[in-house]
Amino acid sequence: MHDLKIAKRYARALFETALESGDPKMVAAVEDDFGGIVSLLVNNPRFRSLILSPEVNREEKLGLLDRLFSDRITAVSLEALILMIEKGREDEIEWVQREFVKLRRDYENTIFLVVTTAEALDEDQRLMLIGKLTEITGKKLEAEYRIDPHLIGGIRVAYDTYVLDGSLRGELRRLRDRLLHDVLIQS
Amino acid sequence: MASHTETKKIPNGVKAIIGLVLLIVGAGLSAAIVNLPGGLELNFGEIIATIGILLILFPAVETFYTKPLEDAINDRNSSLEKTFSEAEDLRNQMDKMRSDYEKRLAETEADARQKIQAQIKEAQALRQKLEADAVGRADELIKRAHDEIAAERDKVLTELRIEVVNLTLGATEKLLGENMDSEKNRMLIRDFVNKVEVPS
Repeated sequence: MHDLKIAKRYARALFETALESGDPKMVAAVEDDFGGIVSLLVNNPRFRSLILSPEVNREEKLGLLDRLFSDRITAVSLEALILMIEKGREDEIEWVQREFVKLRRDYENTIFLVVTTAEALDEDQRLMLIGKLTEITGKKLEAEYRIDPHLIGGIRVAYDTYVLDGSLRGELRRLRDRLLHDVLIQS
Repeated sequence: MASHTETKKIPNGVKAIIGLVLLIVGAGLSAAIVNLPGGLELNFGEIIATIGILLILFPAVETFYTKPLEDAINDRNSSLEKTFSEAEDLRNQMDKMRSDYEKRLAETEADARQKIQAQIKEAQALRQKLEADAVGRADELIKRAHDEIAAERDKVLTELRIEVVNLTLGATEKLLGENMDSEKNRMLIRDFVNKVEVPS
């Protein structure tokens, strides 16, 4: 059963271990390692069932981790995974990865953006957008780009609890809200 | 109503004594008198004795017959007078009772009339109140009906306006989708980048 508090605790321990390793690239490496493992969990049902199934015993899971990742991921990541398997916290792997990324972003004072457009942005547009947002937020930015034809046109940027909506869909929604507000006021 | 007139009469005892005396004298004379031959036979003694007998008989008759009869007649008269008196009393009582009854009847009628008038007034007041209540309720129902009609009309109008808004926006969305191209999209994104502000 998933427990966010435990996931946060593991993520913080992992992040501090990576920071204290003395290797400036260790944090990024650990993030990549966990990103890859989570991707594997999401995309490979067989791997997922082996790691998360309560019917597979601990030794088998540890042996599987050793065979798959011992020469592919950092020692810090591998030790963290082994510890989680030994403690029966396999369910927390995906959440530990998320919390680790959040901790890293907080540490680097970075904002994570989700940029949604009706058509894919080219490189110039992306640079222009990130440049402007960096300028007005004063922080480093990480962006994930998504395509949603439902927007019709324009762009929507979401971060933290904010949404900057410059899409036609958003304009239509705001127009609808205003018109309905006027209609309800009249009635 | 018999009236009794007192007359001076010779007591019966005296009459009887006088009759007895005359009887004795007449009997004596009758024995002494000698009848005259050839003439009318007249015996004074018998006459006197007869008068005496009559004088004795009259009181006897009066005492044993006339007096009881007179007493009976008087008793009868007295009884009749008493009966008449009682009948008169009864009639007076009846008159009094009738008078009381008529008086009571009149009072009862007056009382009943008064009560009827009061009831009529009360009924009129109640009728007026009921009419006023009915009018008030009818006014309220009419007002409520007007309000409901107005509310329903407003609701329908609002739904209609919302429908118009939805249709208009649907048509707008369709037009926008049909007319959107990459160049326009780029322009929209450029405008966004130029105007974007971060909420503080």
